[in-house]
Amino acid sequence: MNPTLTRRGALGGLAAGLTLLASGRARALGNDDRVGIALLQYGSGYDQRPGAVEQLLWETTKRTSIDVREKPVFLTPDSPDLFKFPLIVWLGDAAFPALDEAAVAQLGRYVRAGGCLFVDDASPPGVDGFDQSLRREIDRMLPGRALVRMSNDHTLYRSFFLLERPFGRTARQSWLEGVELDDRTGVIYGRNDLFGAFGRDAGGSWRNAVEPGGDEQREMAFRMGINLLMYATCLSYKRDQVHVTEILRRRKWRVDDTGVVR
Amino acid sequence: MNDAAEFNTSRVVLLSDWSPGTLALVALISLAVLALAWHNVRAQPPFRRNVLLALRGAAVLALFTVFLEPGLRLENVTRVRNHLVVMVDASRSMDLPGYGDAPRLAGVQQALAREAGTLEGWRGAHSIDFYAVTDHARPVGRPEEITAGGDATRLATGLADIAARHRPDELAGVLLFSDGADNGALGAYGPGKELPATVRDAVLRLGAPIHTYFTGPDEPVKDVAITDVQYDEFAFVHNAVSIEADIAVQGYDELSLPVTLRRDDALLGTRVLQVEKGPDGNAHSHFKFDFVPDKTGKAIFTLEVGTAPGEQITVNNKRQFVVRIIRDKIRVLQVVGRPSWDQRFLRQLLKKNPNVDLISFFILRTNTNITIASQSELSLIPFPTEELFKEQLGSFDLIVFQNFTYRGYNMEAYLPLIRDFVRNGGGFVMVGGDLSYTQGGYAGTAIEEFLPVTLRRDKADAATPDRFRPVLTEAGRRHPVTSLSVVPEENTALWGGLPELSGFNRVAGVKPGAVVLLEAPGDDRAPVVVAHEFGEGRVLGITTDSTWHWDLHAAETGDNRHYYKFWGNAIRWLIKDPALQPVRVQADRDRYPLGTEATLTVRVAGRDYLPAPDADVLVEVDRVTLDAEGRSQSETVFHQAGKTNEQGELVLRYKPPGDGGYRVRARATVGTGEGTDEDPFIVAADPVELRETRARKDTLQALAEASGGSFHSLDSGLGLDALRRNEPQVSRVNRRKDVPLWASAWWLLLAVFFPSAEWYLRRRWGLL
Repeated sequence: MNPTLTRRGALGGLAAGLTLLASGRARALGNDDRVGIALLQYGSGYDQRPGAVEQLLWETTKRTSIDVREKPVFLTPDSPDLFKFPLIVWLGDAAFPALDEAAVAQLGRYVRAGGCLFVDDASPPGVDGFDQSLRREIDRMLPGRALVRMSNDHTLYRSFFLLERPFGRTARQSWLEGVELDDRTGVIYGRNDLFGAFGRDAGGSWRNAVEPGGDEQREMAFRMGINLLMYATCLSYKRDQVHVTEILRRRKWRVDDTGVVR
Repeated sequence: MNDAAEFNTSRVVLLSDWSPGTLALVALISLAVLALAWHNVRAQPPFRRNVLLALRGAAVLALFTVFLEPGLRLENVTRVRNHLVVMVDASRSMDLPGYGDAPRLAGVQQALAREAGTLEGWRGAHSIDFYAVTDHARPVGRPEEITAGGDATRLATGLADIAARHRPDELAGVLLFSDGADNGALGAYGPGKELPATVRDAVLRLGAPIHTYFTGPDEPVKDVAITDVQYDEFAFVHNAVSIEADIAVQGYDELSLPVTLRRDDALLGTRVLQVEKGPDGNAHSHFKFDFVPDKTGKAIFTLEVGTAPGEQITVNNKRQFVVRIIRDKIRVLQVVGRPSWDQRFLRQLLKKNPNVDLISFFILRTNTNITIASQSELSLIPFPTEELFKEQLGSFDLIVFQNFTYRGYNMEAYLPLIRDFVRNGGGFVMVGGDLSYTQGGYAGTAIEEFLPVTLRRDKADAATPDRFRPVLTEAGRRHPVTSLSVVPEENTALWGGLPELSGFNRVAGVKPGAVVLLEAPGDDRAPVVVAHEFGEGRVLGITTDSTWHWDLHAAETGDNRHYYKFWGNAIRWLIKDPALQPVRVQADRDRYPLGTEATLTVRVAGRDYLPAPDADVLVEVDRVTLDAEGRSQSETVFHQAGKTNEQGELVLRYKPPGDGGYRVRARATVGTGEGTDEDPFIVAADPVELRETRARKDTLQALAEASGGSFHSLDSGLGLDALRRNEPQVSRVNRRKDVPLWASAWWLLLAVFFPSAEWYLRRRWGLL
């Protein structure tokens, strides 16, 4: 396992990143074209992870070549600006009222047209209100297309980092669910409070403890988040045959603690 | 008048009119009489028994004969002449030497001339019908009229033609003169094989003896022949193609000759034919040529084996054929400098297109990124620049540099290769971004040489982040790349309704010859989409990285098809989709038999890509040959000007003068410019007839045997008198006369003598 990203490491990385930016790091031509995240402003919990998106985007800038918008944009489900953001994150921690018909139609059209909706259930363990509400709305948005369990060899798990399963602030569920549309997963649903692992307070400390794995799990959550951004931008790129052999070869090299080749 | 003069046929008949029942009863009585006689004498010594039984039997027979009333029927009949078919092989192989130095056909004609008197004598009983046989049997007046020009020998088909023309009872027989070198069904016959079913069927339907005459020679002619070439009429560009050939050698003990394969005049491969004498003096060699076609289009391929010393037939040393090289898929290389929304939607578009084989390479991390994970925890692979831009470069149809800079990857040496790729016919798109154009460091490189724009040397102010809605230029209104609708006004309106874009690269200027299709509004009218032709290739410059808004953003109103239309148009234009060519010419066949008329169709489209009526068109046909060094030589053999009809078409008919490769070229005025196209075709450059020139006795022997006829060699005479022929059929009886045989006194004497003798002996031997 890689060294966990410690506060000192993070600060060092921040300094390096700032140096790179200051040294003239290139940018997309227009701000609209940089890779950003829009947060869906609906229900409860969408604003309970302050700084999380910014931190993830900062880590993405630091570790990958993606050019990001530093801050998220909050959009209501019926906002026409949804279509300017190919990746929308829906955070929630409790049951929410049904979306109105216009919002349902718009979200459905958005996903079918190529948008990616990542839903992050930040509910405490044992609380399923958000989960039940979300499934109800997915049924309305995409009739006939159910959320199904994503295989652990889904491209999302190898879009940048090689991961075995989803990570987040919690380890509630060892799989993701998704809705497949035209050879891509248009809706991705995780229940491990992914964005809960990212935010820092004003003093630079992590806002939330990551359980049960601590900093090591937080690092894996960042990798999960970066993979999410990579999947949103590159789709099935890593499934292309040209990469498959190489990736399979590397997976063979990886030996777990028991000595079993995975 | 005596009977012999009055009647011309006679036969024995029964004159009695007894009913069958009466005849049977009398026969039974006769048997009973014989049985009683045997019973009566069975105890006698053998001599007496046998004599008495013989006399009784003779008596019964004499009486039974009288009872039957036998007679001789004399008739005067009229017969219809039946047909004696003289069939002469008129294929090209009959022009080769047979017995002696004379051509095979000449030997036949001389032999028939010598026997003309005999044949003339047969005309009373037979109609002598002459046929020339090649792929079918065709009647001819006299054997001297036959020439050896047929491009096939199908003897069984010729016999079937005769069978279709005459019933079996109308045929006296067939005299078949040939070298036996059949390239139809009979050709498949060989040692240890049965006659093919179609041949047997033709012989059966004929119902007459076939007397075959072998023209010779017994010794094989000196010949090296390409007997078969296996190829597919369609092949895929950038995919391995195999062309295989069989070469037969006869009459040579040892030989070493080059075998070459050319596409037009480009040498694709050379092999060496080595012959060592086989047990029968013949040798067969098999060759295989593998190559990878690097461009699409129809091409004339020439397979050729060298001429051997003293070779008697050289026309079969070369085979020409047309292969259509097509795309199986458009191979696109998409190289992206960083993941972005623009790249994401373009990749999705390309992946959705079933005609595109996409190879993507995205730079996911650069050396400026911090590395926290080990390499084995990442799904990253090295950027295979040498493989993509050197080894495999020629296999792509289109390269997309999307917000990509070559710097940092040691690619400087590959930039000239990419330029040459475009110059030689490849397509290239540069999509804008902070790593493109001037910011990508392309100023002054080999890439800039073919870009449609000139680049600023200074990066300052080389891009603008402003939102803008690009404007269609005058050229863009009609250009296929920016044609969202064929109606110009509607096209302009559609472009005006698309979502705004965000930022573009600024360039120094537009190169001469490049066509700006979309530009940014404003005084400087900065180019946004520019089309350009460089050498044989085409280049599109897109100075923004935000066309993805035409997809997802446009879908807000439920319609993102214009994004797909624009990029689809761009790809088709970049790869020179034939459907977008303003002038197209096509021969109706790839290969014509000698003497066949070709139909040449020219289609002209205007700048709006709609059919262009009344357009001036010039059509020329070149005859293409290869000289001794394999260089292509062409001579214009047809030249005609015309105008297109209402459908934008001009149709011409042309009869090529001889064997070989041809290329029809059409040139037409389209708008203010000129368009050209060409299409190759072949005229019987590989006569089937001369692929196998070996004279074959065995086929003729088999035919003769199967039909009950006889086989002869031409050098030993025709032997016409000994031939079995079916007699002509009787059509009418003019007179008839029955002469009773039983009424003779001898019969009565016998009928009395045998019983009397038996009576005498019985009495003498004490049996009465």
